Amino acid sequence: MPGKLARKSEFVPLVLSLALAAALSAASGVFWTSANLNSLQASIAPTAIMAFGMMLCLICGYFDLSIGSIMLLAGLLSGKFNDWGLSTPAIVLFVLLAGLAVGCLNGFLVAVLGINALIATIGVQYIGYGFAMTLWDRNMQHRKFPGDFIAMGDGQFLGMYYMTWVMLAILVGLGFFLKYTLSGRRLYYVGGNREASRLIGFNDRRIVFLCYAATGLLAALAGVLAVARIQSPTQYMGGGVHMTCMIACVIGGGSFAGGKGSALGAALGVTFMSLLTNMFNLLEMNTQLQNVVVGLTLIAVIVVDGYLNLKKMRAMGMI
Amino acid sequence: MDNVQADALPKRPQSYLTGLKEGGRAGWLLAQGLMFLGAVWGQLLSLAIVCLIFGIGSGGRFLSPDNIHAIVGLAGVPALLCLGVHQIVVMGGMDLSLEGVVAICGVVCGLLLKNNVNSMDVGFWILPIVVALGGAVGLLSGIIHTKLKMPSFIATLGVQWVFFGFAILISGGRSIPIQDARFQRLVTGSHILGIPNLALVGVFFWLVFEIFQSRTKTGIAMYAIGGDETLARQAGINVNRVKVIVFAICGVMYGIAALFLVTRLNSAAARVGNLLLFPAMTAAAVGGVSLTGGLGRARNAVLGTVIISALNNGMVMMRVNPYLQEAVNGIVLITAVALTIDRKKLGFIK
Amino acid sequence: MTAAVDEFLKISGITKTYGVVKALADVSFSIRRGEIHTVMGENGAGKSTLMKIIGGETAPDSGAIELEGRRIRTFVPAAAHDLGIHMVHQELAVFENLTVAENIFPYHNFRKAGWIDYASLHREARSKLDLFGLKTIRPEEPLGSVALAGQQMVEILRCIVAEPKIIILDEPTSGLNDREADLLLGILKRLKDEGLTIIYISHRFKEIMRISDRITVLRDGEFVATLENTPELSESELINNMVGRDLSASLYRIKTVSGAAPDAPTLLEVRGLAKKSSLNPTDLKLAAGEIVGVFGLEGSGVGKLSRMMYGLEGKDEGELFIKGRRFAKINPRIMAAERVMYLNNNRKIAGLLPEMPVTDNLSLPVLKRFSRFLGFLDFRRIGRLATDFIKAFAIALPSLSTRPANLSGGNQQKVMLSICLVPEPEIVIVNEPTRGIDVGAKTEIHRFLLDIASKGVGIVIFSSELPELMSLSDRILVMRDNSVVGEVGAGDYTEQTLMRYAAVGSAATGGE
Repeated sequence: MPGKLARKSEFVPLVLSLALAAALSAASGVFWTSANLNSLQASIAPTAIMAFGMMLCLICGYFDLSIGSIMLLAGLLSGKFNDWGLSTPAIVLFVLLAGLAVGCLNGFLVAVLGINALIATIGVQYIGYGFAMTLWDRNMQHRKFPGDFIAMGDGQFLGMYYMTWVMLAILVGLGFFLKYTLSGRRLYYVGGNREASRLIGFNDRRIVFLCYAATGLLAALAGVLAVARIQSPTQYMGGGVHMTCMIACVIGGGSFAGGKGSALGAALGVTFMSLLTNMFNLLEMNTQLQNVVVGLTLIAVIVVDGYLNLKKMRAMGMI
Repeated sequence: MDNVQADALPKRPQSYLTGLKEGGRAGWLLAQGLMFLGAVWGQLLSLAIVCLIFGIGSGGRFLSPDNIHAIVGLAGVPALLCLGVHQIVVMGGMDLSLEGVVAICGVVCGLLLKNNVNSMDVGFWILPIVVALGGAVGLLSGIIHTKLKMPSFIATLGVQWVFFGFAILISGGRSIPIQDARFQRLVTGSHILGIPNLALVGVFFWLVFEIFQSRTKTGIAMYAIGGDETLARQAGINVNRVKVIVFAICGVMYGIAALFLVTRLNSAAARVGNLLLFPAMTAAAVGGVSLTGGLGRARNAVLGTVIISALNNGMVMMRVNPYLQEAVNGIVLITAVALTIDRKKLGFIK
Repeated sequence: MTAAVDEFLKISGITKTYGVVKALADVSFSIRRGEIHTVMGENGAGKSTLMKIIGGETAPDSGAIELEGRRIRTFVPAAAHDLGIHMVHQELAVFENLTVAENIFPYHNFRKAGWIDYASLHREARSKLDLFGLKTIRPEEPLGSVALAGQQMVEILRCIVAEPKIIILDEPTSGLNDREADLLLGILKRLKDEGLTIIYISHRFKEIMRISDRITVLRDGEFVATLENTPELSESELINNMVGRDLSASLYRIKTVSGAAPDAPTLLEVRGLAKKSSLNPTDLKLAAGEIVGVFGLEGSGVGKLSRMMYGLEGKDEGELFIKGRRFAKINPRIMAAERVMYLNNNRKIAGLLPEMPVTDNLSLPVLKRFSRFLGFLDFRRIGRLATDFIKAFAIALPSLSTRPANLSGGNQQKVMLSICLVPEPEIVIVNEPTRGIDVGAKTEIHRFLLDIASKGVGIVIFSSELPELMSLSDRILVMRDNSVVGEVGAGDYTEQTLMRYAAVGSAATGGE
């Protein structure tokens, strides 16, 4: 039984997170304060929501580097719609639709046109960032959102922010989708052997397209929640988040080769990355050291993932 | 059994090019020129369109000698970077380490040239040093890619982070002011006929790369690998060695570009390389270097850079919202890539 | 009424052309309901293409396929599945990242209250595995940890659980040992008893004659005969159908006398080349001016041998002697340096890079040798060689910098041959020299090969075209089951003899 548990892909990020949390609570008395835990939640929840999207793409064998700009777009659009006087539900609806639209663009470029995922999503990242920033103006920081909008970010239920509950809901939902529904399982077929999935009759292009669309939607949701929390959009939203999510997803069991990963793994990976950032703040590490640590994590993750794939290919006699 | 033999095409008429070639030196030169034009007519057309649009839109200011001077100067450093990276794309790979290598080379330049942080003053010795450093990092990328068999974009991603980290580490996260003004004069000046020195350097390297690509065994091997790696291997080509050499060359170009960058600003910081990868890739794609590999010469890299520089210069001149400029660049990249994909060779980047 | 049984799957006038090659030409026959129907033929006879069409993976150029009287309209895998036609491929289409159970049941519907019920899934998978005697495979384990043979069984199970009307199996026993093959055949017999119709592609005579009800033979894309598998059916009859060509009127002149001089020096010698489960220890000798042919059916190890001889694939043991010098390590660089040239016509455009100027293509095999200081190529020498070849082969080339993509097919072939001669090789290894080429170009290539052999070049030809081998080779080695099982010299060539070696392993005539 313990052996079986250890082999599950979520074991690694779980252990890493627990270890880091334990280390942090020992090293800093501030760790368990409600202020710190709140800020942890606020950092984990939106990032995890985006990582869910990234994980979907990763399972199919692709990735999405444009989620940062979608999040930014969502934040700035919320501000813009608010300026126009839309009600909170309307704001949320239209922002989500915008995110969905960008996701569909990604899906079109990658799944339909066959453009390399790296280039296509980087291109969309630039396009999204560019268009989003045209919405930006300095005064945005000072205009207020209506109370119910802010409540989305501030409100708590049973000690946890609404956004944490939202993330948990999506986690459970997505987890079930990926493990217990037929359509969810198809992602693993497509990611595991694209050609064979076509031969079995799965519509691999449609599946990949939908994953990108979903990722766009989730990134927009994360943006809305984030902006509700900080109460006004900034031009820095979403910066560097694609790296964090990518590392988190690979730690969480995903692989660049595709066919592997889970919602829980993504969430745990993000938890680990957020604890890492938390550590930077608590221990007041300077930015250089921070970069080094993040870089080392990235390299470690890449090397291990690459090495495991290499081992597998050698065993199959491909090398 | 998907073997497909090309259908018989009608015989091509005797080409005038052959006739020209036989017409002595002048004829040969003319033929080369025409062939060159023929290969890049798409890019020249795009450039013409860009010039037309912005020329009219700016009331002619776009095409003024001063502005052309500016565009050429603007394109200098990106052209060097693109010359380096396009060869990796030709082999079917990708190099994400550009910003990190430029960072470390830039910082090293800052520390070794005359500055106010230490007592180093290597003067013109910086050239071989930066070439060696850039080449060494490129070599490392190549070795990780070939020996550890990691896809190039993952290998170079790792290299990117490591060396960017090093750059931050040894520079203490600060900028290092450079006090050797000789370089700045060289980089920003135009000593010969009013042509920016940077442009001359660009043209020089352009020629070097053209010769490398068409006349040396490693150059031709590079195209073989990009076209069909199995075939290249079969022909007895040492694929790993060629790949490592190309990565090293790329690193050298990054180093030289870094030198120019920091001396132009008279200040070296790790972030000097930031945001340079995207324009370089876009320039390669726009220039006609296909992501699927095997296609694209130095002329494509240089032309692509000129087009992108002209485009961005024009947008600034027309006061296009800077953020929209970014969006336009993104659209241009995607369109260029979509147009140059070879459907038959789609697959994950090597 | 009997039509419903006798013409359960009716194939009428199917034609499929790939470029110049007619993969299938007006093939018509029928499959009976509930029978095991084997389709036989040499490599390239069209078996796989036909199966791809039936299985919906590609569409025919003309002709019709009717299942139970209804014509198949769309040729996509999903449509075939809907009609109840499933195919097990030669290259496994499996998902190693998923469990055995999920590989067996990709479209399952084991649900409890809307969610997937893994307990049922695993139970069903377990029962299916047990049903077919696969006791050691567990449903919950990832397919990646199952051996290749097991993976093949799983793919077969995947087709079976879809309750198909027809199952197509393409060389299913090629990777299996005897015990596993027996198991499979037993399973197939059981399925047939339960009413399943099975189309089986194989060239293993023993198996075929054990389980087939009827056997259809294809040859060169054409239908030859459908034979009932009665006790009187002999291997010879099958072989005659597979290869019984009338060669008198053909362009091939069968060699009756070896062209090699008896005292010619040995250029190349292969000793004990072997690789676990791919090639048994094999020897081969090649003398100057000699043409040695190697023939074998699919899966016989011919491809592996050709690649391992040149170092395109790794070996476990064995050594190579080139002009007496011993080489324990084999790779393409060493071979190129020793003037051994490899021609592989199995690629899209005959070993050429279509977008590279012809001059550059020509220089590929000699990059190292013709380069001077700093890696600069000696273009004058290459250019001279190129002009020589262009004249000699009468290639219509507008200029040396033309790209092969802009040449006609025949001219591309000629460029390829020129490339072969550029390094002035002493040994040439050719893989499928004329696959997919029209007749005119074929004769050119044959003439070329005979010509360079007469000048002292040693050639090893790996080919699946018997007439071609018989007209070029001084002697032919036949491979079967990863070993060389026979050698026939010029003068003793008959298609039947060679095919007998390839299919059965011995020259002995007489019944089963």
